Amino acid sequence: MGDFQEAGRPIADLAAHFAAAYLCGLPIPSRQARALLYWGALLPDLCFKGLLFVFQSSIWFGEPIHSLWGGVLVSYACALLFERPLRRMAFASILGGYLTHLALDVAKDNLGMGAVLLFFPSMKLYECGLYPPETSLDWAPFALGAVFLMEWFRPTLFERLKKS
Amino acid sequence: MFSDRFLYGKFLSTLVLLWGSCFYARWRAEELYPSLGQCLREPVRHEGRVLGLRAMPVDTSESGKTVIYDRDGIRIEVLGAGDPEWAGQYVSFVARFVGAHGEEPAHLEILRDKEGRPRARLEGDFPKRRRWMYGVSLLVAAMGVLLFARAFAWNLPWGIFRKRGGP
Repeated sequence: MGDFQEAGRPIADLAAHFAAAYLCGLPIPSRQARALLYWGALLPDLCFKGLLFVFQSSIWFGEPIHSLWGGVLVSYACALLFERPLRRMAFASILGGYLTHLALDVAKDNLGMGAVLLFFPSMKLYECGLYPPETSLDWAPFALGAVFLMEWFRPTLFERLKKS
Repeated sequence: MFSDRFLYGKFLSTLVLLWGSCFYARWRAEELYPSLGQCLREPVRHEGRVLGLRAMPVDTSESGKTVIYDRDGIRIEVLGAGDPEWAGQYVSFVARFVGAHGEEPAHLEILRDKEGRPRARLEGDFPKRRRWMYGVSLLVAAMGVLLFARAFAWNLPWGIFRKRGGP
């Protein structure tokens, strides 16, 4: 049994998802759309873990929220909280964030068991097996650092790009 | 909170649909992805089922035996001496449940990949890393709130987020 895979890295966390969404949101000019994109990337885990820890639900109970189907429904429900002129933008941004989250999770290696219930109501689990599920925490400080730096220098950077 | 009743109905029905999906998933998963406890309760029904068992603590203090406890506290004894590398760590593996024969106690056969390696991996000091992860996640959520507030800040009557420029 000695030569099994050594993962030993903590779970794909909000930092990785946030950084991925931040990267995807860089070309989006609207600050509001970007903010919602970030929240879209955080919502799958926040909703899922909320059910798991706050309501003590089973893992499978929360899985639909962590799927495309759940993404559409959650984005729609959240978009309804905004006034009419913002609703479409809100829906698209939150769903976009959801998609970045699911893409990152599907890339995981879950020992061939599948990581995400992607196309619910189909109960098939999907995974690409690119990285162990817990790798991202090692990268979290770098990812967050990069996000902070980008957020700090962003106006200057974009002004420079516009001038050039 | 909402501008009209129709909108309120749409919001509520979306939540109901989501909630219903959750019940459906739990019901289907009982058949497709049973837990070890379910397999032990109905061994004939779940004979040969492949289970993914995640991040379980390994205890080697029991008179040289390697014992693993699953999420529900079910005791899994590793046959043979086990692997000293596992001691004090957390382990995840994929295994086939064999338990319907009656003569032997139920057991799990760890599956192997194409190269013949067991589909298992060590998760290190899982709870400590998890705590660290939650700390980082809290920081990220705070940053999300900050960026959201910067985008929508000046008018946040609860629940309605309006276009910049005021109501």
